[in-house]
Amino acid sequence: MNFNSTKILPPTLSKMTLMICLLCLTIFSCKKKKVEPMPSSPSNLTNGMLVLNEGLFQQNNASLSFIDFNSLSVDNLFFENKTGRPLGDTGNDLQLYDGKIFVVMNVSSTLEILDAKTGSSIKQIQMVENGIPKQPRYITFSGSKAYISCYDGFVDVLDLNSLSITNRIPVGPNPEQLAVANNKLYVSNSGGLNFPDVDSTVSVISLSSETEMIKITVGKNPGAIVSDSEGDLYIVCRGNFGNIPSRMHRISSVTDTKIESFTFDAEQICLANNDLFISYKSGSTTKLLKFNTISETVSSNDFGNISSIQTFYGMQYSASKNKLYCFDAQGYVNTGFVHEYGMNGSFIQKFNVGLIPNHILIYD
Amino acid sequence: MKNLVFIAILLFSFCSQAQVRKQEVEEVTIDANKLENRRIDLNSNRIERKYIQELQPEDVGVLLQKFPGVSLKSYGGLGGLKTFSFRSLGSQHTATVLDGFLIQNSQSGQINLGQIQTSSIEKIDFGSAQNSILTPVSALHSSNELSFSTFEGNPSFNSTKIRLSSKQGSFGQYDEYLALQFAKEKFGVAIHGKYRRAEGNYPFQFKILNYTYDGIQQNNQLEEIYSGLSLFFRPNKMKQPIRLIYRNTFIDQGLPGATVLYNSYGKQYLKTAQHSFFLDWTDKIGLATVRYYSSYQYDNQIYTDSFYLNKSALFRKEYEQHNAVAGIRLSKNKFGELINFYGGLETRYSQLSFLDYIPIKVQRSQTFTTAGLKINEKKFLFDLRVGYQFFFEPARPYIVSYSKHLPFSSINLESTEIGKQKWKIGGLASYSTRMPSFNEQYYSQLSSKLALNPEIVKQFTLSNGISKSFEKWLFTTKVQLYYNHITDKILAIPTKNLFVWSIQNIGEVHASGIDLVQSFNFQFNNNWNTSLNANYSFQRSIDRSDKNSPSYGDQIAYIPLHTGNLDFSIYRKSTGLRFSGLFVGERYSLNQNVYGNLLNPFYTMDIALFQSLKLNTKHQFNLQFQVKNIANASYVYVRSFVMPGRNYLISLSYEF
Repeated sequence: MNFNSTKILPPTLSKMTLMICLLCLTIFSCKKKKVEPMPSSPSNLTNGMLVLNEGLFQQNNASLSFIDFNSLSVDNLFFENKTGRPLGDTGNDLQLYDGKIFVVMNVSSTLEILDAKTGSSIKQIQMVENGIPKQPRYITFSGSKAYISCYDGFVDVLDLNSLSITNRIPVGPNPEQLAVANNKLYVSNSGGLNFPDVDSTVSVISLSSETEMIKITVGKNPGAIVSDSEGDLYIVCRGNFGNIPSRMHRISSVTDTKIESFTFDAEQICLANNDLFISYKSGSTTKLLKFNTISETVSSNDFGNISSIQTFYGMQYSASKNKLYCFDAQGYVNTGFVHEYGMNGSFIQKFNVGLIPNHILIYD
Repeated sequence: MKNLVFIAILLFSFCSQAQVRKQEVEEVTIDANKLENRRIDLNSNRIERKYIQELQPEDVGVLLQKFPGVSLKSYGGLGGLKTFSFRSLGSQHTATVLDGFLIQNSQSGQINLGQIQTSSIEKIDFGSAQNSILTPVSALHSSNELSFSTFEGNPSFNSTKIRLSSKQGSFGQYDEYLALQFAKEKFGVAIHGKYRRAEGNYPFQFKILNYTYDGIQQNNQLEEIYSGLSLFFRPNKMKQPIRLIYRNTFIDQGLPGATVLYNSYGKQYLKTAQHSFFLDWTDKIGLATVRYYSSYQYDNQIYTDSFYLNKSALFRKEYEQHNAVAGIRLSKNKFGELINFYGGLETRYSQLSFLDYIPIKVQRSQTFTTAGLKINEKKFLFDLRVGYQFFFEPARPYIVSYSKHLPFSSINLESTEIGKQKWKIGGLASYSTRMPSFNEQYYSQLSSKLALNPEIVKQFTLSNGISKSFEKWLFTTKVQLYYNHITDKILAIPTKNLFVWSIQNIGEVHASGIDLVQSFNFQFNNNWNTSLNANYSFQRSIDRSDKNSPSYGDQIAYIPLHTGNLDFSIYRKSTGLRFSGLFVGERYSLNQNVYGNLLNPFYTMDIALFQSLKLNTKHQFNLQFQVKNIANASYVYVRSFVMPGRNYLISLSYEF
């Protein structure tokens, strides 16, 4: 048998092979984006910003980004570099308290506790009850306790000394954000998973007895809640995303009653000293409204120039920097941005971070 | 642009070659004792039963990825959702045809390949729609056609046939199949039944970037029953039979879902029931061949989630679909087979109903007409096809009525086989559309208007194939260059917040690439022979949707630049050994090509050992042992949906 290739292969084949090679060369030479290199994470966290990127549902791509204000470099694998493992699925809340960072992971159903100075892992708590994930949402603190709203209708009490769950307080369906005022914990019960039959209440919990005292009816689909310096609580009820608009209401922590419903649209709220920044939709764009919590009046209908934000996804105020930070989720499918604004509304700079940024911690 | 210029140069070079190679076509002699020569079909690829038997795939999805240019999306597990794209066109652009009848899923627009069984498949053809009298008119309108031919759908008159197979495998898998076909001169009947069940849970290694986790994929149980009855009647020997076919499917399965880090507590289930009726007959009227066909398909799906954190601690959603088709195909030859006129008319009705917080029922009708001219000259084949579709959705509360007029056209020119090398070249250009599925159209259910336009696809393909045979060996190669231009691509876009999205026609994709198919067969002597089949695909699919988007100019999600298949078989008399390998290159889970979206490339290898035994020339037994994913590779097609590691399958089949 003769396996001489020059005899076996027909003459056309060699021409064709040549053309294929040329084609491959042409195509391979097309511009290909380089995958960006990742900077290493700092050993101690100073002069920077830690950003929680929510990631997409069931993609396990939540992340923490650390922005170094000196070099302006961004480390999007901060958690992985510090702990040697991924953060998990759907990062929902990020808070700093008692020298620790708390990251609430909703779909992974975990609470990640990190050292606030170094970022290294202290403990991961799996939030599971009788084999069913609790789906934690938000965390807040009072004294030596942390309170975590869980989508299974409870607020879990975390002892900050032992870092273990010590109690489960039943509230309404699918609780969301929490706020502390007047030695009471206020929990917005969204009932979002019963849509369109959503909930309309805020649970009031006594911090001393750790039991629900009362439910206050506010409006459909309660979500964001903050407490001001006067002990009032402001809560956004998101309606039904249709004919019932998203509006803000005020509760007195003294009488535990709803004392005011505002007539302007409100989606997200953020407290900055005695001002509330309230996002709302104006056509297809998002605008910010500035509201004074002492006078209970609107001081500006269109604060700052945030028109460059493609997908507004929340905001946070930093008292130490005295700046407002707004999150751009970039259509939820591209890496997002944190935009920095001065308190006069001027844009300062922006940072490209991970997928769907939603919370920050500032390090001085 | 660079690619386009190069394709133009290449076209010119092909044309130049074609002009100098004006030789008479030699007749291909097929000798049963020698290697069978192959007729190269430039625009379609085929998988036949022998290969399916040797590969023992769990479903059609596994087979489909053997075709060049196909990117599979498998969500894992037996019976799990499997969809695909072909040269960056989603599977909604492909008409799925079973024994000449369209099968549909008007809800998602995508057929779940994981629910098409392979036990009864005689052959699969995949590529641009073929001009066969069995091709439904609507399939002629599609960018591509995936066509199955089955044992129970195609009778052999004056014979009795039996097929029986039994399989057992890893993950508690049992698979039993029985099919009988009995046909006299005029009447025939076929029945088939298949039962498959699996415990399904499998260990996995989950790799995210540089991190690896071990776990057990839970809630993956499966129970399936497929059965059917076919009746055939042939008025006389000259005529095609009238076929009446009934098929049903019942599937009860756990949905393991995505692997979520630190949370392995999924409890979602899906129950599927499907009933299909098919009826056709083909007649000769003068010189024309006429095929009348109709089908009805009923689908019921119930999703449940017993870990859902609502008041009733249960999520339940039930969907019902009715799809009906009626059509007529015509074909008439002139001057022998030199000129063929063909065409047809088809109407289709689809209805989807489900209970959300309000009951919803949506309907649509589509009418397709096609006319074509095919010239089958000695030296070339020319096929011109034009079509028109009328699409209509009636008004219902909050929704206005909606209609569209959609053209279709394609032109194909190819040489006949030239010279001893059986060289063929050809070019295909087509313009086609696909309407949004019900899911896309009614994503925003209370929207007061419908604004979705069809996705528009312009395809350009150049093909070149050579088949060369000697006494003991056969070599076949095929090269295809293509450029697909997709506009008005339907994408989901968030509007108000993460909960409120809308579906819009804003996507644009430019896809170019090359598919290479090579096969080599060698017969050492009467006892030993071997075959090597390989294909390689290069796909560059670029997002051109929005210049301001970070993903503009990036490779679109889930399309790898490189994919390849390699199959090597060696046979000694009735014993054989087959290695089957698949390579899928790195790709991204979202359109933005950043490190966080990167999915690792993977390579899997299966090995099968088989033995046939023939008794009295009529009774044939086949025994096969197979190891799948022999290297125990950890891989995903879809981010977070882990695939099983090494697993085993033993099968015994009998044919009469």
